[in-house]
Amino acid sequence: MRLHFVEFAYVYSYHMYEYINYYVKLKGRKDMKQIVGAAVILAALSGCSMTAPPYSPQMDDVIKLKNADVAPAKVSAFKDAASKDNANPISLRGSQLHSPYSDTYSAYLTEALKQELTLAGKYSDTSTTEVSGTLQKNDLDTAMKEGKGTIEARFVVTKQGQVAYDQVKSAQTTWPSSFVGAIAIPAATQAYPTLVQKLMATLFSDPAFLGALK
Amino acid sequence: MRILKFVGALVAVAVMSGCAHVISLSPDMNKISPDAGTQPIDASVAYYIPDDVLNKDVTTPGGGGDKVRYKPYKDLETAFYKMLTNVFTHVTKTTTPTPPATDNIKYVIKPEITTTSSSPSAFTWPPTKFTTDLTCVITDASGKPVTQVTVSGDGASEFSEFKNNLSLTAQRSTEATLLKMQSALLAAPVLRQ
Repeated sequence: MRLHFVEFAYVYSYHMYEYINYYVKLKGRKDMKQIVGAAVILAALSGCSMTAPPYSPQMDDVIKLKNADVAPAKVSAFKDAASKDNANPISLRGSQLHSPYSDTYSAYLTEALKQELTLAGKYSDTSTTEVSGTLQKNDLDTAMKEGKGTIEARFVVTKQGQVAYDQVKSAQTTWPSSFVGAIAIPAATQAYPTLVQKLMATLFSDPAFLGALK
Repeated sequence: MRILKFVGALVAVAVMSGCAHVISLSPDMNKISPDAGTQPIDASVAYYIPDDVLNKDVTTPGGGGDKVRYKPYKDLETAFYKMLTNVFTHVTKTTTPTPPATDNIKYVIKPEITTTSSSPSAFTWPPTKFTTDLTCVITDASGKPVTQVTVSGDGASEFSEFKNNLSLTAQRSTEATLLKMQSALLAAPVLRQ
């Protein structure tokens, strides 16, 4: 019974909080102290912590890389730029979305690139060609109608210590969002790997990047 | 007035129930690892998933009268490819069920996925039980049937486990299913002929 109460508070707090907010706005009942008080308590209860889904490469990119005339490369850990646009954790209506890799999104980006190259058979820990970089922007916006994700990173390829490629790539993704938090938050969470996939696709579509890996 | 507010809140909860929540079936790629000690099959294969199937949306029950929505083929495509690379020496993707002879493909593998989910909870929507049935329909490059392999994998999790990852039950199910399929394909004598 206790577990059910906790579950109830956890899962439906957003439903109720948003319902009450909507009702107060609709009716102009700004004096509804009890309702607002309940909303505050429910909002506090709902500040939960979530983990982003693990990265999964997009097969079209894997096949493109596999068939490309590029040599195996290694990936070094990406860094995080200190910026308010580079969120970690990502805030989703009071919930916090953490990275499943070392709790940083730069590690998520490192893992994404490693997985893409590994699945394509183009990864080697001993290669003298190295890809590294910096995550500069990273955020998800759970708006009422349409969610939006933004990511931007600087990618640097060095060959035997010499810079062969140094460019900033960015990507955006959108998804149907909702007034209801219990719909909007999972939808945003599931959109994160797609956002990183789009960044990877942008990078692999750049002939200069593929040229630097030759 | 107090009762009215309480009833109003309950109605709001009831109205907002029955929603379809998005989850992902993609398992952790690092867990789709090769079978230790089993030699991969020396063959060049291609997997085939028609575009309409790849983008197919599926909705199954969750808890509290809500539902979960996902794209089983899209979500599993990469992990399925990785599983195949653990089984065969060369794997690619084909856009036709009968690839041209120049592609030198020995087997074409078409996955068929069906899923079920459930939860006894009245208050949480993520499923606590998830089952994935996966069939690999295997033909040669001309479309002639070779064999068909079917496996099933269950996933289960409780609130304390899935509260940080709302797709956990499904991911446990798909991971188990893919690893079972890997073992089943490696053990199929017809594929080593």
